[in-house]
Amino acid sequence: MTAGSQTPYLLGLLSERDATRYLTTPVLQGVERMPRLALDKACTPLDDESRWEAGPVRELIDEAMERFDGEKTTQADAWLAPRLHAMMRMNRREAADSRRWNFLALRLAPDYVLWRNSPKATKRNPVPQVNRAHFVGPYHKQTFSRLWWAAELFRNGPDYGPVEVACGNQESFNTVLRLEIIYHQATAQTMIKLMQEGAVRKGRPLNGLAKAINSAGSTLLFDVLAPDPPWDGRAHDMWVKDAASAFVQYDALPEGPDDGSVTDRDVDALLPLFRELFATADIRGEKPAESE
Amino acid sequence: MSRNRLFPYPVLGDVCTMQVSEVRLDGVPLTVDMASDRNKMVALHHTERQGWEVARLAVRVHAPLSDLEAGPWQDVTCVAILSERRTNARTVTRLRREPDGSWAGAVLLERSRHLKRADLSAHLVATVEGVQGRMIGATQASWTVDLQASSADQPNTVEIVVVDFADVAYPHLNGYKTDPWMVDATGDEPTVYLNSRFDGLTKLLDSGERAARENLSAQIAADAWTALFNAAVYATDMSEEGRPEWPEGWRGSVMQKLLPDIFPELSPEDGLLELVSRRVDGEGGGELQSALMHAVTRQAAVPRRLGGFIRATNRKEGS
Repeated sequence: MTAGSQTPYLLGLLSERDATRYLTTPVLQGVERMPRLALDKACTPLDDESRWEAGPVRELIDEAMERFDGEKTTQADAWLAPRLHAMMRMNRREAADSRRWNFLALRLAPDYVLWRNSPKATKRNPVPQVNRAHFVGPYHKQTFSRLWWAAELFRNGPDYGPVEVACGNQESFNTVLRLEIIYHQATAQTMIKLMQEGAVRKGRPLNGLAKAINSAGSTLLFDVLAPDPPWDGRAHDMWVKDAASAFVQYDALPEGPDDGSVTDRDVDALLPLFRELFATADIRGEKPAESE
Repeated sequence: MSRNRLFPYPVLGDVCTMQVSEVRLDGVPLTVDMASDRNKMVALHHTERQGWEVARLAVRVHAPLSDLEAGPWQDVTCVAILSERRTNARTVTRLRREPDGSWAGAVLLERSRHLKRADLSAHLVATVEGVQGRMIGATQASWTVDLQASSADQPNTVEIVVVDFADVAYPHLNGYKTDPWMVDATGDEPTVYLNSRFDGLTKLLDSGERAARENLSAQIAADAWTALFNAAVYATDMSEEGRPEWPEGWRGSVMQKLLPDIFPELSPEDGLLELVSRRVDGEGGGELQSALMHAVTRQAAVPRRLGGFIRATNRKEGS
C-alpha cells in the first residue's frame, strides 16, 4: 500500500465523537475499510505549515511497514518514534490534543494501526479484532500518540538515542509512560542507563524497576537529588520553526530540540539509589534473588 | 509529627498553606478576581491577552514553625510543583526562605506546556535519618491554575452549552432536535447541551418555580451521571497482571464517585474489578443497571444537584 493520491495535503483534527462513529466492528476486524469521504467531512485540516504536511508522515509510515515487514511489528516502534517526533514538531500543549492522533489513526494510516496491532480474538469477540484504544485512546495506548510521547519524554534534549533504547522494550509504553516518575528527566535517563547496562533488558525487570522507583517516589523527591534544567522554550520554538528546512533521514537518527538536557552527573546522583531499588524490586515471574 | 506505614520516618503531614499573591501574564499583572484564595484557583483566560506566553505566579508557603523546629529534620527546603496530567508536564520550583520563616518564590507556567488545568502544590523536603530528599510535609489543598477560566470566583467545570439543536454548526445535535438535552460523554471534557428550541426549558432552569427547577436539574444531572458512567465503563481496561485500571481524567473521577453506591459492600478497587469482570463475562448487566440507577438517583438528589455533579466531575485530573 502506498501513499498515493488518497493522502490529504495537510494533517488534521478528528474529534473522538466522530472517530468513534466510524470505528465499527468490521473496521476493527480489518474486513471493511474506513469510509474515507465521510471521514473527510468530519476532519478539520490544520494550518498550512510545512510541519503539518501529511505526505512525508505517510511516507515515513510506509517505510516503517516496509522495513519491519515479516518481523515482529513491535520492532518498528524504536525506529518510528524518534522520526515521527522529529517530523511532527510541536509543543506539549499541541500534542495533548488527542484529535490530532485520531486523525493519524483513522484518516492517514488506519492500515498501519491494523499492521502494528494484529487483531486478536477474545472470549467476548471470537472473531479477531484490534483493540479500539489503538485507534482512539489514552496517550500511552493510541498507536501514534504513544510513539510521540515516548520520544518526547525519553529524549535527552536533542539526543534521541535514549528513545531507541526505551522503545525497544514494550514495558516502557505499558508501564513507565503512564507513571509520573517519567516527568523527571533525570529519572528517565537513569532508567535508560540501567537498560543500556543490560540488567534491565526484558519487560518484566523494567516493570519491576519502574514500580519500585514509583513507590520510592512517594516519599522521596528525586528532583532534590538531581534537579532538572529549566525548559528552554526559545530553543524549542526555534526547532519547531526549523521544520521547513529539516529533512528527517531514514537511516541516521534525527536531532531533537536543544531545550534542556541532563548530564552524567545527574544520572550518577540517582544511579546508586536506583540500583538498590532494582536489587530489591519485586519482579513478576521471578523468585527473589536469595532463593535462586 | 507522626510515623505511619506509608512514611517510614517522622513527617510533619499535610499542614502547609499556600497563597498566590500575584499573577502576571507576560509581565502584566492580572486583576484580583483572577485569583481566589477561597476557591484555591487562578484563572488565566484573559480576552485581551490571548497570545500570552508565560504566566508568573508569586507564591508564599507557611508551615507550623514550632512543629518544624521541634522535629528531627535537617536541610529543610520547600518546593512548588506545577503539573498537568494532560500535557505530561511538571515544573519543580525551589522556594527561598523568608526572614519570617515562610517560603516564597515565583512559579513560571509556560503556556506551550499546558492546555487546560494545572495543579499547583507545595512540598517540604528534608534530610531525615541520613536520607536526603525525604518529603515531610505538603500543602493541605492544592491550587488549580485554569487556563480556560476567565474568573476565579466561579470555578467552571463541566461545560453546559445552551444551543439550538437544529443549528447546522452542531451537526451532532441535529439528530436530537426534539430532545430537551443531550449529554456528550466523548472527548476530554464532557458537555451537557441544553436545547434552546425546546419550549421553556432554559426559562424554567433560569427563573422557574423552585421545586420545578430543582426537579428538572435533578433529572438532567441523573441523565448526565448515567451517560458519563457508562462511557467510563467502556474506558476501563485490564492491566497485564489482570488488575483493572482506573480510567484517566473525568472518567476515573466519575467511577470513584459512583462505585461506592453501586457496590456498597466492596472497596472502590474491588468494585472496579467486579464491574470489569462482569463486562468481560457479559453477565449481570441488568442488575448493574438497577444498581446504577440507584447510585445516580442518590447523586442527583444531593441538595445542590446539578451543581454537585458539576463539581464532582471537575476533580483534578489523575487524582
